[in-house]
Amino acid sequence: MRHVPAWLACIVICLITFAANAQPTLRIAVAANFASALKHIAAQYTKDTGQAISITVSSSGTLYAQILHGAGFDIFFSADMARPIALVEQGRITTDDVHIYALGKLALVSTYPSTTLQALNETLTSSDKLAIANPKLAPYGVAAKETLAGAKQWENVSSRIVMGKNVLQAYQFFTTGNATVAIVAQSLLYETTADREGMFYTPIPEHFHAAIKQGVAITASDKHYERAAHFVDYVLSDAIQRQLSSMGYKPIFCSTQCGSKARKMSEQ
Amino acid sequence: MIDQPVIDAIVLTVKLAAITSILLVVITTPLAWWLSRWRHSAKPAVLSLLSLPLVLPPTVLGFYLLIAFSPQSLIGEGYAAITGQTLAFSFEALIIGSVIYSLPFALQPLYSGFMSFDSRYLDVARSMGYRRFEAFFSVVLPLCRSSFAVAFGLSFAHTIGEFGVVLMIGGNIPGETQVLSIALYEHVEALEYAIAHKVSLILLAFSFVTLFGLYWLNSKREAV
Repeated sequence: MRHVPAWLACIVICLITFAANAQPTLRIAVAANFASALKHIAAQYTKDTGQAISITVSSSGTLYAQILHGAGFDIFFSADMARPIALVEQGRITTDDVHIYALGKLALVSTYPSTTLQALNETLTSSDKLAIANPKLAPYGVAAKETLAGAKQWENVSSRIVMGKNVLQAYQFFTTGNATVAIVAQSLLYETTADREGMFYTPIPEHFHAAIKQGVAITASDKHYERAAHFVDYVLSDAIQRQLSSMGYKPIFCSTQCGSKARKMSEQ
Repeated sequence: MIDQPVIDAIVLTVKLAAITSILLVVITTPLAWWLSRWRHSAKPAVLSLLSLPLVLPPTVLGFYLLIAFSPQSLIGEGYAAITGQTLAFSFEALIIGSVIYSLPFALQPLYSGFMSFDSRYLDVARSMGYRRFEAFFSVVLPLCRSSFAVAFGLSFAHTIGEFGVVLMIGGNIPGETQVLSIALYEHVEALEYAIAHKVSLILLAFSFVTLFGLYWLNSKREAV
């Protein structure tokens, strides 16, 4: 150890200096349902600003637990408001760090033509399965359950329900042919070709369920806060929100109020 | 103290593990015996094939099972034709998944046990007029009993802890496919950490007792 060569020390110092000067990557954690939309948005952002972004996809519950125990994510796009608010309650962030970034929309997909919510029980045979996300874990599952209850079908179909850990898995049960009907997020359908053979799609009117509010939390340290807030502002901007409406989400047009704290920070 | 859903999950898990391990011992005994006596250049390939479930991530294995179980596939179609039900999301599906997933854990101990078994014992038995099966049951079985105990115990313990495969093909139906590991996952994801800790403790204690029993039996045998 006493004879560390001078050239080696030089390289190490150079590398440290270089790493310190290079703009650090923005680390974003995202719930599965929003992952593909976010990747699309992040790619545009990187192109516009040069900011490198790394994206970690997992379930909201897992990401929440990781962030609470010190995972170094700068931003957390949750599938619901419950997890960001839980981070506030745990004292990890403040309410100013939490914003709604999109509202989810539901669709009924079926292998039977002209399946309707109201006639679900008559359409399904006894061996058919209806896939939804687990209402205990996923906001789209809560909304699916509310929808079925609202259409007076929950009691009728509950013996045929299979639950995915999230809305993606519920959709997977359908696409692999194991469930004949599924209630899933519209955002999942815009990507897969709409004219998939033997798949019939009906949007579910929003009044059937409580709004699926998806929340984002800025979890960055003070050092990275400004860059994180800037990206959240970008997602909340009218231009991006307009894009979200073509990706199966209901946009949030409230850029004057919603991103106030984030905007204030980035203007400093 | 312990809620009904947790008890249901425990019962289901033990049932799944017991049926899986019994099936596995029945399936792998002739297979391991044949493999231990087989001499062929293709043997390493067959052994590798049978050990593949060790390598493939459980969720990936589960995904392919999900495809295989769909009514559009031969297996799923055949099952639907016989029972009128879909195979996925049923207890039967979990058994098929577990048997495939835990196969190497039953096969390996039996295979090693049979490999080290001295064939001369069998020759003696045969010369004394024992028929093939008689000789196997009265000579091989008692002499290799510790291998059987390990094969059964490992498949049992491995099935208790199984998660990825069940998550993919189970559909989380209480009393049907919601095993303990799935219930635990659900509690963790739902931020119900207090119950999650309790379920974890049960899972750990149970697995420890199973494994302890296994090693204790084995050490007793070695001492004799």
